[in-house]
Amino acid sequence: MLFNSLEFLIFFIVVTAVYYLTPYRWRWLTLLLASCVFYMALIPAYILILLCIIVIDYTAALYIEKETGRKRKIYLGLSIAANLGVLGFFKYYHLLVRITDYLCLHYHLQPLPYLDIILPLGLSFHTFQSMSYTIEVYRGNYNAERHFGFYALYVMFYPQLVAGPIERPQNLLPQLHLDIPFKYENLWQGLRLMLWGLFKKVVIADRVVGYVNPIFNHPGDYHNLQILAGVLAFTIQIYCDFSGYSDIAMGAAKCMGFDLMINFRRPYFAANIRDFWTRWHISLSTWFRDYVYKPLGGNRVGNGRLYLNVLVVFVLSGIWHGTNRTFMLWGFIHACYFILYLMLSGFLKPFNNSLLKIFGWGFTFMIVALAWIFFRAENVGTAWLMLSKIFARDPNFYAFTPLEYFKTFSIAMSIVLCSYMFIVEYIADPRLIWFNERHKADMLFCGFTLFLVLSFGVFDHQTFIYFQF
Amino acid sequence: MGRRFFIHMAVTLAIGLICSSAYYYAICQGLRRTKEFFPGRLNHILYDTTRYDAVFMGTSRVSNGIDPLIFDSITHLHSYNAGMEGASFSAVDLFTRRFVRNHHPRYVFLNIDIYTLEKENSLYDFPQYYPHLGDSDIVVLSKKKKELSFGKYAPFIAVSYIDDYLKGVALDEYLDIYPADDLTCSHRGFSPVRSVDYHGVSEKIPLAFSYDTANFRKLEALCRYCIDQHCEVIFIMAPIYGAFDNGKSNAADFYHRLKNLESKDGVGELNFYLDDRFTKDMFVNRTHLNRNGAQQYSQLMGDSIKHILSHKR
Repeated sequence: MLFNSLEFLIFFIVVTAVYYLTPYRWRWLTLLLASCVFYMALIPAYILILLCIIVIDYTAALYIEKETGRKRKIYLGLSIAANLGVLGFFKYYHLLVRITDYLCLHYHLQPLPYLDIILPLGLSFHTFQSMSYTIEVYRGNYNAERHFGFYALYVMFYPQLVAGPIERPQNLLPQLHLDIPFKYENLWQGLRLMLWGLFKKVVIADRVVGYVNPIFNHPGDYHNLQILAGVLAFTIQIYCDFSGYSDIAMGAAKCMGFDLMINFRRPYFAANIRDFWTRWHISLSTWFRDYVYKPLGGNRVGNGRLYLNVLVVFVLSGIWHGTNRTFMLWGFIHACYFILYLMLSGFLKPFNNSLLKIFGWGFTFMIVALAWIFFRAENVGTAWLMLSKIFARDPNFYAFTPLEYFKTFSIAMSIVLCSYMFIVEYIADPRLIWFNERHKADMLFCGFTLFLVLSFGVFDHQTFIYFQF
Repeated sequence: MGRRFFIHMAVTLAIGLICSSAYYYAICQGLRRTKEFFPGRLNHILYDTTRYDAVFMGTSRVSNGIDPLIFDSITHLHSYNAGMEGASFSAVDLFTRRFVRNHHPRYVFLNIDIYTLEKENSLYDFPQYYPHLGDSDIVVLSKKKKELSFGKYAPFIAVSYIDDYLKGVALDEYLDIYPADDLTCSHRGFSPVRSVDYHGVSEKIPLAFSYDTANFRKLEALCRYCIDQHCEVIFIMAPIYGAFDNGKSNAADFYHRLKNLESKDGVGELNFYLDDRFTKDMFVNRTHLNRNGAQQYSQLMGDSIKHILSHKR
């Protein structure tokens, strides 16, 4: 069930209404059933996998809390192994087959069978969310949840079930226990955020995809400026697609009185690469920070080890997205950026002025955009071809291909709409709270955004990019 | 807060719905006036009254394939290409009657091919018809596509179906900034395909011939209507790259009925189907000619008609 579909709109209205009409003691059940329906809309059988993960982690957390000493570690290890096992089987099995095929060819062994596996929707998100729970219980930061229903709801809460934000138990679980009364301001703020997310998805992301796909699919047919434009278009697309999803998720939760964690904080306004990673996909980057980077020693180690830690975290972050080598390279490139920043930040401190900040903003945007080539390209060869074409001397550099008029109109509209989005986000982010006390501006903004969604939206039900992870 | 919520909701909906409805009406106005692209062709068919000697009716295989300027230079007729992309036979029937009524052509070249008469009720690219929902004939077509009725009753929803292409065309009409070139419909309806490369078989193209008997009866009625209006009907069969019949079709029955119709009503026929003068490099896919193919087709068509006309004289 896509957020940008009529089915979801009906589902959302019904679930929110039923949620508030249900007595407090049964609300968790209402939400849990709704989440099951939401998840089962695609492949119903996969809910059993989710149920397995929930049962394992629920039980493991109870034992972790009950036991002392080494046994706690064993239970935590079992929980993590189960989560990573499920994730590994569904996400990385084909990679394993490819590797073993290669080995079998050389050592005459029996190869692993090919299986027709479809990745369960949002598996990477809810396994990471589930792991964060057992780790937090192990660390003593959160008491194990006794009520199985509430724990299941924590993993399955439908707004963030398939593409995050990857919640922490400290934030979401206590909210699920609260008896939240109906408040018009929650409903209004939630609907406003959902409208904004829908705007980013259907008006911008699904519009620019028309320029992105042809260029990334056939980069050889385009000259350097066109490829650069395609890369910039993807930079906008992935942000609007993913943050649009997060906004709709946060909005849907807010309508029922829940505050999900913020996943994006104007990432393309980052002044440097470190700043970027405090603003982009915050729930995943903080997950890696808390559960990988810090246990590896974080920044309380020597420079060499620090750089290695950064490299490990970013490459793992790339692998989290998928087995394609392009994702690993994307992670590696960001690790290189980050390490270079760490090396140079000491030299740049004395020149910390506004001019440098503006330069830093533009430079960060460009290097992030170039790294997206590896994220989006079909394979490493295509990515290199695009990069080499961007930087190569092109005899057609100044010769713009004449565009058909409708494309010119479409491009002009996309630029205007993107500018509108960046201005609004610059002013009103996070969660558009700037509008809370400005009622006239709020009504104008919502009315105008509704007009843009209706008049310039692309309603061909394009799926969200991050659903594949 | 409850009162404020409802005021916020009401104002938001009012701004959103009024603005998008106004935008919809502005687009429709621009599209009703344009002479360019396929909305221009539709305007020409529905409202213009220029007299023509001949008209080519059919689907995209006509609009992409026949250049009236080449045809006219050979035959010394004054013709118009009124092929409509993706038109079902109901639409072809309607547009032919309308063209005959408005433009009084002497010859109607009606493209008949393997899927012209298939059972097809949907309406291809229906947003192009939004500006014409006041027209009684278009209202008949609108019953085949429920989304088209949004244009009358919910313009703020209808606007979401209109793509950037049509919005661009509408804006062009207001600003008049796009000069017509040889790739627009300004050349008497002809709209050639830009590409010259062969892209293979389109998935949308059926591999088996199939025709609907109800549509055949409509074809018979259309022929009689044209004859009553003193028009001569000539069936044309456009070239195709590769045969279609997979043995499960009712093609033989169709050709038999078509021959009967031709002999009964005195309808002529020009058959270029599987004509080996059309080679693969003249197609963009199995059914659509590229610009070179269109040039060849228009010339051959002109030569054939010239031959027929000289015999009649």
